[in-house]
Parts: sequence; C-alpha cells; structure tokens
Amino acid sequence: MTEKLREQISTLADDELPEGEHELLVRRFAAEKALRVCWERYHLIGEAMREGLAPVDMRDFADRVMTVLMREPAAQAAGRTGNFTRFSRAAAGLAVAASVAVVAIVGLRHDTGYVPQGAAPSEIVPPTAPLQAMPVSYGMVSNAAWNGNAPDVQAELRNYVINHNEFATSLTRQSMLPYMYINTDGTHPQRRPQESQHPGDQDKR
Amino acid sequence: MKRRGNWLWLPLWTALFMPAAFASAPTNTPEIWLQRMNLALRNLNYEGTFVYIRADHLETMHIAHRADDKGGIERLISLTGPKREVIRDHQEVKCILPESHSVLVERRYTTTYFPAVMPAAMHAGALAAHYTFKDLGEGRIAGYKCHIISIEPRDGYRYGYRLWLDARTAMLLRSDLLAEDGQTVERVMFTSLAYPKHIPSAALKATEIEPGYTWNSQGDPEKPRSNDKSVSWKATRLPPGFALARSDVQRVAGVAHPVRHLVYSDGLTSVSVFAQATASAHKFLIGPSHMGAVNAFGRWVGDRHITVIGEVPLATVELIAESMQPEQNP
Repeated sequence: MTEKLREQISTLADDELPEGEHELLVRRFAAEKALRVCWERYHLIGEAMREGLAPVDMRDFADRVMTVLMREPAAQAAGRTGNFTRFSRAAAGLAVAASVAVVAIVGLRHDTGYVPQGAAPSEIVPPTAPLQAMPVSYGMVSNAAWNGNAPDVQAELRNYVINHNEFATSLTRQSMLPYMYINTDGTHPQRRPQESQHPGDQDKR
Repeated sequence: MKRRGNWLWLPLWTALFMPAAFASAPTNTPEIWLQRMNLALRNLNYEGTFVYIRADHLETMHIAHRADDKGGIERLISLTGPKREVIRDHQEVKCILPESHSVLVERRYTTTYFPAVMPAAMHAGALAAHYTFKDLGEGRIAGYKCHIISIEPRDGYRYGYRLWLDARTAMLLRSDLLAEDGQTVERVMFTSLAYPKHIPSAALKATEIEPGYTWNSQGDPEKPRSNDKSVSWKATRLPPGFALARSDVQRVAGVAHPVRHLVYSDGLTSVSVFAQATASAHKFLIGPSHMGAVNAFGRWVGDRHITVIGEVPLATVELIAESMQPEQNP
C-alpha cells in the first residue's frame, strides 16, 4: 500500500476526502480487504487519540456492516434497477459503516465485543447500556520534547535515552516504549534549559 | 487467539496455573498480574499497531516481536511522523533514521530485562514502601478483555502507572503514566494486536540502508582509561528507595568520549547518570529538559559534565544531579 493511499484513507476517516476521490477510494475498498482493514485501524487510532478505545471489537467491522447492507432490500432493489453497481453497493455499505462507526465505538458494549453476523444496521447502534465509567482522568499535562535545546544537545540526550533504555528496569520500557524518544520535536519549553560548551561558559552548578 | 505451542510457554503456563494449585495462595493480586505480564512480554509472539500519546503529540507504530530464549527479536516501524525503524536483535539495537540519513547502533544488554528485577523486589515487599498496588477491575482494549492494575507512588519522586493487561495472556495492551496529580503524562495503547504462532524472519528484517548514511556505533565495550579509573561518582542524596544498581565506563553511540554510567533504581523505575570528562566543542545540557515522561538534568561538576536522565519526575533527576560528587580513588 502506498503512502498516498494511506493518506487518502486517513483523510476519509476524518471525513475530509473530496467527493471525487471519495468514490474512487471506496471502489478500491470494495475490492481490497487490506484497505478496509487500514480504514478501520485509522478509525481506531482517531478514537484512541481522542479518548481511548471503546469496548467493541472493530476488527472486520467494515466487512460486517457491508455484509449486512448487501442483504438490505433497498440495496437489493437498487441492484435490480441497475443504478447501483456492485461497487456502488459496496460504497453505500462503506459510507454507512463510516457513519455508524463512531456511534458504535461510543455506544456499543457487548461482552463478546462482536457485532452479530447478519444484524441489521439498526441493531448495530443500540447504546442502551451506559458506558462503563473510565477510572481515570485523561487530561494530558503540557509537555514538549527536549524543549528548546540545540540540536547537538538533543542528539546527545537521544543517545543517552537509548542507552538508558537498555539498562533500565522501568515498567513500561520493556515493551513498546523504549524507542519513542528517538524522535525530537516540540518547541514549548517548560523551564528553558541553559546550554554551555565549556565548564567556564556558564555558572558551574 | 493463537498461542505458541513450544516450550517457551512453559514459564507462562506455570505462572498461570501453578497458583491455582494452592487454594490458600492469592491468584489474582496486582503483583501476580504484573509477574504474568513480565512472562508474557518475554514469551509471547505478538504483532500489532499501537499509539503513543503525550500532550498533543500522537505517534503510531507497528511492532513485530518474536520471542525466543535469547531475549527475542523485534522490529518497530513508525507509521506517522518522521520515518524511523528500530531493529532489536540478540546483539544490538539498530535505529534507522532516514530523515537524518543516520543509523544508531547500541549493544543490547539482555540481562537487564525488567522481570529480572521486579519479582524479587516485590516478594521482598520493598516496593510496597514506595508504591500502592490496586486492582481496578476489567476493561477492554483492542478487542481484548483486560484486567486493569494501578500502581500509585507514595511520594513525588516517581510516576504512577495504570496498566491494562490482556485477561487471557497478561500482555500489556495499554499503559498510562500518571503524574502526582493523577494527570496522564503519556499513554501507549495497542489499537490492534495478534499473537501469531510464528513471526517470519521477513517481518523482522531491516529495510535496506542506503549508501551515504552516517553510522553512529557504540563499538566495543570500553576499557576504563587511566583518568576514568581514578574517578568514581557518588550520589550524596537519593530519593527514598533508590539504590545504585550499576556502575561502569562505556561508550555511548554518537558520544565521542567514554562515559561513566551509573544506574539508580527503586525496583520499578530507574535513573541513569552519565558523566563525561570532555573538551568537546559541542554544547551540553545545563538544567532541566524533558521529552514526554522522560526528564533530564545537566550540570558541570568541575571539568566533567553530568547528565541525569530517567522516566521519573523532574524533582528526582534534579535531586540526583545536584548531589553527584566525584570520589578520587586511592
């Protein structure tokens, strides 16, 4: 999958894809499962960024919604008139999947997490049970990355972090976190640090 | 869900079912969940996409991890932001940074896995003096039913954790790092995850590195030079519970001179002190800096520069940095 295609899918997930590109992309969705999986993932990522994942399994969600819609009388009737091609039915399915995805993410809570195969769209959106209260405030404290330092200072800190991670006994450094800090960005200093080239350049602390 | 069928599962099954054999032994305490998590991280094959969030910054990465008895092999690729790729094999950690046309290579120290420290410390009850462990019930991440564990610090010298562990495998699916006021400093969370029976070698192979890249390699272990041998370092004050866990002289990839590296740990988190005697022309950190949950503090002590760095609050790295003093060996 090309980078451009990923960007298009991401834009679609944000509901910002131009109309012309939308139709073309949806046609490809109908034919390529990898694209649908990617689309689902971007939806999940968006939700994760906003609040955290909801208690529903989104795997194959687009496929399941499309399957349901293909069985709907309206879609079948449209197919008979010839106004809907196979692709446009798929497109309709995907569009509905996109529209209900957010509702499903917010509202669904099943013990299994799976939407039953063959359920009608109206059955896919029943947030009757209240959401489980999340046990923590998710406000993010303000912070930046190696704030305000010269590039060589940032590079040295990056190298130190990688080295530190190889020795660290930290709880969350053991799996996916260790390499997050090799990136440098951010420009909002919390407490602007000083830099010096030689011991005599700055106040010796 | 697929599980590995080879002998690597033995310790995990042992952890899962041995406690059940003893009716009087608690089987679902937070401490036992954390030990199961340690085993899962060691013994599971897994492949998935996770997000890393701090402040308004979001990154998405893909990880493939193949477990083995030598510490495992894994490959991470950034899906958003600057292109980065990390390959961690039995010998080294290789970070490929295409945008800066550079490669960073560090030796790998497999014996420093977190599980090597955690169980002993927890059995000894040492951590209880500095953290409170709580069971927060169930949740759901990436489609998997989870058990939620809270680890709250008793003072301001360490962060708190909230961990979502797969209820079946104890794999870490989400981790929130919490500041003293309960706010989330950073979050890592899988958005999709699978436990393949086999991770093919192709999924762990690094992208071909183009000619012209700058390689920064840590090189061979450094033998202490005469002037390094003569100087050791000591923290005259430490936060409660922290103790020296390691001290040696080594090379750090991308750093011109050998550095004295000390590691202080409370059993759950750790802080590194890097001290280097240098006449280098490049700039050094003076004062505080941070990236996400990692804080750093730099200062000069005589003609040597000290950098203290760790996944701890600023107060911790500042306290340690300000207390570092050289000791002249006889």
